[in-house]
Amino acid sequence: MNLNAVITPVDKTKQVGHKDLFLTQGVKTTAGAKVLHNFIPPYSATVVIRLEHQDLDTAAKLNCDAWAHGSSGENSDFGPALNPWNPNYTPGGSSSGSAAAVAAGLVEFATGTDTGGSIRLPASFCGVTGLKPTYGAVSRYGIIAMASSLDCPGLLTRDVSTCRRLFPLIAGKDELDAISQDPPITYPSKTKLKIGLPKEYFISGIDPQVNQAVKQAAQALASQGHRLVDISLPHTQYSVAVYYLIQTAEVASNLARYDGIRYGRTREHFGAEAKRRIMLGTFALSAGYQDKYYEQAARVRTLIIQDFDRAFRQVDVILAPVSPTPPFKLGEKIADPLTMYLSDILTIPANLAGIPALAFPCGFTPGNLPIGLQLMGPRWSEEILFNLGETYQSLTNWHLQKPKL
Amino acid sequence: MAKLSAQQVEYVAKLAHLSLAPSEVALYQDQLSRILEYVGKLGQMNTKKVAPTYQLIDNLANITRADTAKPPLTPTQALSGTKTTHNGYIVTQPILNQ
Repeated sequence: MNLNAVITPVDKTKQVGHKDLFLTQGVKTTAGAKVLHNFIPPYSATVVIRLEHQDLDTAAKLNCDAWAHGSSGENSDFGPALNPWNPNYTPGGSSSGSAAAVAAGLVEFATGTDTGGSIRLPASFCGVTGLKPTYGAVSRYGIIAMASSLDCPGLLTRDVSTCRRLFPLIAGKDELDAISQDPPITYPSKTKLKIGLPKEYFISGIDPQVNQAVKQAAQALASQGHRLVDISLPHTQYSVAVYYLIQTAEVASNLARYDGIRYGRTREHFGAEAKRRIMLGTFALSAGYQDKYYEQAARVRTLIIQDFDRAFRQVDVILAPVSPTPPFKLGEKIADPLTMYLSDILTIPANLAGIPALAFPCGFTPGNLPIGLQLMGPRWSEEILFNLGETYQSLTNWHLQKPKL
Repeated sequence: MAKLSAQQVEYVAKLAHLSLAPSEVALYQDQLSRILEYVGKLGQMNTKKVAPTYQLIDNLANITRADTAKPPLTPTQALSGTKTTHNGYIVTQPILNQ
């Protein structure tokens, strides 16, 4: 089955699939966009170079929603990637090819970027592990920018242990990305954790199969001596509105550089979603509307961050579904941008707050489509998330399931 | 808010250096109006006492690095993405008449 996960094959004997947002010197890099259909970068992203130093070389450049704009992979200008569990379904996006390629075993692991859920959602839809690191933990240098106050490069792997092993190889300060940092704090490892279940992530709008699978996973962790605590993140309902103002404002700014002069093609080659986001962001920043839209969103973002600050005084980690629904069908949401945007309601808050989140599989629907959960922790708490994820994967075998291709 | 007018959509497109077909203007009028109506719910919130968050890293100041030269891109590499060059320069559209 051709999953359309690969845009540019490089070397099948190598290990790494890079989302086609990561610049690879001498190898075509498109961002899934026709503006860059024949762009050959003269240098590589820091993440690519750091992996190459460990002899982890590029196997393929992977499909994604154009400019990483999307939740299903369907906004790729090169056609959608397909879900390896069922090709009638989307693999989730925007790191669609990354998740599909890891699930199908086309690569050992893949890179991705997570601006509003773009690693976790496809990881969840394809039954693989996905890490959105702490904002600033991984250098963004040489990765085509989407929304710079939110962008987090990360990893998609078959299990948590692999993710844990690879994360230190790509993380850490890079003088070419001014916001990149080494972890300023180390979290003490506790054996018994308080796990928060935010009521806003288990509301009636959440698919019952998802709700049940995620709650069963929470019980499995409770059986290991961790304590479940009901918590509230009261501003969750505003996260999509905040995100679609801040993110589009930053997209409009970042995509302004594409003028077809120094590289790439002209702005006429932008696809429908890129134009929609540029228009929305430009409007939100335009004279007369900036205070009402962009400024107000930046203020409500503070309230969302404060929700997490309060929660992490009460609990060590937060456990929640990744997506309100199991994987959806190709074409199901493409005509209605707002419905598509709402797919990210449970993943966006972690990006707005800059906290790490680890997604991994916790069950299947009766139709054999993967269901995923996510653990969110305070900034720089990746080790705690890995510990808990490894515990869960030692108790269950969801992560060992493979699609029949 | 009321539905965006075609003129508003065309004005925003001009600001963003996008050229839209008439059918796109109508589509974006509809879609952007619906999205703006949705995000408009933020307007109901009282945020007078809340400081805005524009970026997340607040412990960075006076970042310095060693002032040492590193090999730059070669002129060939730097010009590799552009279609029209002249004597090692990138050719752009004129921005002034005469």
